Amino acid sequence: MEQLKISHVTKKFGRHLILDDVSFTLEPAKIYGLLGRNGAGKSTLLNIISNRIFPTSGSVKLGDQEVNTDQTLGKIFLIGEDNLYYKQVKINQMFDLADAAYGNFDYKNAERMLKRFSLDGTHKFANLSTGQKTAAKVTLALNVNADYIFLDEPVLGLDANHREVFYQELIKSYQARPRTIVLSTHLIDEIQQLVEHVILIDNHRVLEDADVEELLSKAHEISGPAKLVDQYTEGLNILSTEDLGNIRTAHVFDQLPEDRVIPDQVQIGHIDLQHLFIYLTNGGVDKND
Amino acid sequence: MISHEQRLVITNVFRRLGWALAFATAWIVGLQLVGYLIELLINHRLDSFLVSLQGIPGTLIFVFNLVLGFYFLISAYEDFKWTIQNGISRKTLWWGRLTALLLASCGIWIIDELLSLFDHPITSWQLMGMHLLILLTSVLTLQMIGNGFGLLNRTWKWIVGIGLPILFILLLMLLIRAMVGLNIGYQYNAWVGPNSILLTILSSSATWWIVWVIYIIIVVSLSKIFNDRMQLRRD
Repeated sequence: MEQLKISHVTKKFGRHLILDDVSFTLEPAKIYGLLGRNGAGKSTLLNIISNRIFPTSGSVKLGDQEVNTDQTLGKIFLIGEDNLYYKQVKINQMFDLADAAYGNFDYKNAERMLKRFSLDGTHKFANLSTGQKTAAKVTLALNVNADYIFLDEPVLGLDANHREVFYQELIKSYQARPRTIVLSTHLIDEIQQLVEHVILIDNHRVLEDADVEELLSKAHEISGPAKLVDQYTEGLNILSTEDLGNIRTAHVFDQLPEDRVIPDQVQIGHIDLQHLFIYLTNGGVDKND
Repeated sequence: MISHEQRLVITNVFRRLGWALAFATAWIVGLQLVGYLIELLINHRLDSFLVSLQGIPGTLIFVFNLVLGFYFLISAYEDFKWTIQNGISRKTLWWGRLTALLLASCGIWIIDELLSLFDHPITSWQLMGMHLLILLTSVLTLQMIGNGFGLLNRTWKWIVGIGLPILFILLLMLLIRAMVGLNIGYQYNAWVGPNSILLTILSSSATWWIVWVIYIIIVVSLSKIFNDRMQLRRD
């Protein structure tokens, strides 16, 4: 399997800038999280990667080939918010099309997944509820024979039980056939355990492109008396601070200096991915401001 | 050599076109039959009813041509969507749809010619060939318009949909006025006068074949350009 390289992608709709010089590389057989606030350009980026829309500038390459041929597009599968099938299409017909186009669709597993989602393959896709549509889409995506699977809002409208089913099936599918899966979702706390690597888009650009472990190892919550916290965090990258009386909590995104002594009254904790995302994308604005 | 993906596009076009033909035929011929039956019930004239039935092949020819043209006029964006969802490139979509268009046009033309035998004896090969060229030219033109419309959002569809025919009519009127202004005829003096070269060119059948070939090249090229620029819209 080859790398998927997104190089200097910029997208403008008229004068409106959506993506600005976005570059990153997707490695084979890895689960990614594509994170960003509403309107950050995640869906636009996924549409560009899958050649559904053109970038204003920049390129998307699989290995050394542009993603615009049957050979390259046949290795990429994106399931997004839009329904690109015919209005009258049934779930089974979506499977048949994927089988005809990508080959070796896993019908057996898809049938099993549909049962877990309480769906019937003979149902018309257009008549399903939002959650059922999502369930049908993820069933399709996890059983298609492609090397790169992109899931845009894969839990949209799914209840807690079905979200759990999806996460279980995602792991099962990945274990059965390791391939690159990119999840674009707002439910960050739920995917934290699933994703290995995160690409965070903010202000039209890639803000972070790192392994989750590496990101979280730099994310700290330092609290204690304001003066001591300020002293300890001096020169570090502070994302935000919160004050409660004399107690200050600073959210730091940096490697803590090993030579700096931690005062007894200061406590250091870790931040989870969801909170790190919030602090990073808030633009470093203090909560007290 | 037709690739697997092209075959998939062709198969899907034929499947959808087949359904559209069956649906339109059932409705239009059904309505026509109901009309004839009502007439029979009122008039009690079986001979008149049987004569009326002879009009059905003519209706079928009309319906088939209409549906074929209409399909390629409205289906460009729909076909783009399902193909791009299934990892099929624009290039394959283009060749697949063009192949399907040529095959479907030939198929409909054969059916048209067979159905026309109900109305009149077999016509000359020249006339039948001309029917095929007219059908192909019309469907290719409609496909070009459909591909162009596939690029536009709803607002621009209305603007172009109204504006373009008006512009076309104006250009046609200007052309007719220019032709009338030239005042050329087949009188002797026209062949020796200043318009003699123009008249010679216009009277040659080769001229019209060249014009047709140029027109087809323009139509097919524009159709391909529109196809290659098609992308997912937000409307």
